[in-house]
Amino acid sequence: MITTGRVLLGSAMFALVVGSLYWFLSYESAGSLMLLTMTAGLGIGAGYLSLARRRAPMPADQKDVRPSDARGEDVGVFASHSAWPAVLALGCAVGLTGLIYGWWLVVVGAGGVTLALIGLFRDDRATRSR
Amino acid sequence: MSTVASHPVPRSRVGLLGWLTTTNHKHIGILYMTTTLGFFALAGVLSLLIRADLTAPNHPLVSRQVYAELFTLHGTAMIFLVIAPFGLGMANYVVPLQIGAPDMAYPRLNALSYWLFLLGGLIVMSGLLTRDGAAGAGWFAYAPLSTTGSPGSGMDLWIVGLLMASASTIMTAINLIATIVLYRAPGMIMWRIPIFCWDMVVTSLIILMAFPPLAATLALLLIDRRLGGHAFDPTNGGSAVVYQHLFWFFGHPEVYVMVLPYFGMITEIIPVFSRKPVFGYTGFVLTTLAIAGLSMAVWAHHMFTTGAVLNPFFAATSLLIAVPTGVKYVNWIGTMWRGAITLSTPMLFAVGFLLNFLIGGVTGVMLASPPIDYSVEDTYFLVGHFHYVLGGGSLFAAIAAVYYWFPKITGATLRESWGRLHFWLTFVGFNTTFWPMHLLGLWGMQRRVVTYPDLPGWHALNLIASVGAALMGVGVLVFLWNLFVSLRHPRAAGPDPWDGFTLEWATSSPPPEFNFETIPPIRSERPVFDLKHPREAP
Repeated sequence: MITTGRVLLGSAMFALVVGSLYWFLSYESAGSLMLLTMTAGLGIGAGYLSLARRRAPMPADQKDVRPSDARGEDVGVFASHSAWPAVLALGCAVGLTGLIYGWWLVVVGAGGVTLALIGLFRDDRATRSR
Repeated sequence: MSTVASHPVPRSRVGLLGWLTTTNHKHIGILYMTTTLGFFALAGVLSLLIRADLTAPNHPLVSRQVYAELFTLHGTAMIFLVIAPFGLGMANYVVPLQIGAPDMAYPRLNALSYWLFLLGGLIVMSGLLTRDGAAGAGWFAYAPLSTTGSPGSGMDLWIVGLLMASASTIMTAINLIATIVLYRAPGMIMWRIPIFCWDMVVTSLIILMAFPPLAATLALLLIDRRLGGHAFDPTNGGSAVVYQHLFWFFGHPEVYVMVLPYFGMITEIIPVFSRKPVFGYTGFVLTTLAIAGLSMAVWAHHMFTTGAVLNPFFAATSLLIAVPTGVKYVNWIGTMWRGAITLSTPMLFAVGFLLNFLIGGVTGVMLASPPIDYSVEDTYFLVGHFHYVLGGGSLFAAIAAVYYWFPKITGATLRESWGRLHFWLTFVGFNTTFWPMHLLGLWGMQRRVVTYPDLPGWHALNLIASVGAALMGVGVLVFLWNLFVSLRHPRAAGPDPWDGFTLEWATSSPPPEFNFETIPPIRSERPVFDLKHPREAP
């Protein structure tokens, strides 16, 4: 996490310097604003990682840890199947094309998205309780 | 070797339902790659139609409108639906294996990304089926051509489809970063992850910075077209130049989204086929970061000729980007230097990448200079340049990666003899197609024109380019035949057919559902090499 945090912090500093330089050289607002937004986004990421690394370091961040040392450690639960992502994408597709072909399609798409979101939440709960 | 963890999940389903509902990173990677192959075939047919149209002067085969649709959909498909997503698809398959993870961090989000990409791509292409035809405003769809200039629904479908594809790309980037940061195997510190994984971290960061502006731009474009907005309408207080700023703030970093993953793939292949570690691992990572940073500060070199941007600033940043890219060539050549090089098909395509990308890079440096850019703007010189970067570069690297990781994905090797034929047809065909375009551009031939006058040399060079395109088409057929033969009559590859270095070669081919039964100790960026050669291990 330290390395990733440094990468984000360095990138944020770079964006800040370039954004400031660009603003004072050009006074062009669209590009300057995007570069400063980029600074903020990367800065938030760096800040979050600096807070997260105060917790116990991960085995992956320790040079001398062997995979055998982490035997049996819970690395998380990974769902192997779910139909809801495809339903959610289909709902988005129908809803967005409704902006072109008619608002009734937006309603159908929104219904599909809602159904898929409920399905995903239920799916997630079922996987975690397994 | 030791057991890492077990996962309380059901076994894979099989059949069509299994593929439709899968959240496994390997299946999703395969879905991504086969889908991009489908879009590549479509984009290839469109490009052959373009070349057929341009073979003879003053003799267009299609109307101006149809020609505009052909080059718009060819560019859109290759950029948004082939080159960028193929890199993400390969990362989907390879990254968890290379870092010793059981899957991507968010498997359902991963599946959602794929389905959004597939449906988005189909929506873009469905414009071909509409009464008014598909989008014809070019892949960057400048306003007002894309607003008041394109009244048909094909343009709306293009916008909606790309909105979905961009949302998909952002989700995949989040997933890749979370996976690499949180799910590395114990002992695999960031400075030990394979270069491909580093390149995917950096590519994902670029995506997170560059794609939200694209999504916002597309949303504004749709609002302008469908809901009476005026964001890009200068007659009602909007600005067409702002569209260009917003689009290229995405558009140039997007070039690196299409290039950096392929740098990573090449950097996995060259060391294995040179029997040496990467020359300058740390330098390679730092130059990737430098390229990414600079890529966010060069967008308006696409706008030099508008007269509305600070040309010296963007010329300087664009020229600077050649420095870290040049350092990478030192890394690659240093890796091969005095290595025991084997010119198997993956390495042949990797060397082809080095040669072609160099030409694209050098012409890129030329275009970074405003006086040259003013002279060749919107000519075939530009077409030649970016095809050398994305076709000769990224596409060659993609093919190299397919030959390299195909045994891991399927358990069978692709045939070497067909692979070599595929390489030579593609290499000769590619250079025959795109090298003449530089000359045509310097002689003044404009791009995006349905036909051209019979000026001295123009017909001959266009004919040569069309013959080259046909050769590449034959190369694709050879590749498809190779895939068919190798899958139909598989030759078992074993877990490690290339005597590889990185963790994916420590598991079976294809790997089990959650990738590893055991993971070897990780002491360097080459854990599998260390395992096989303990005396040379750190």
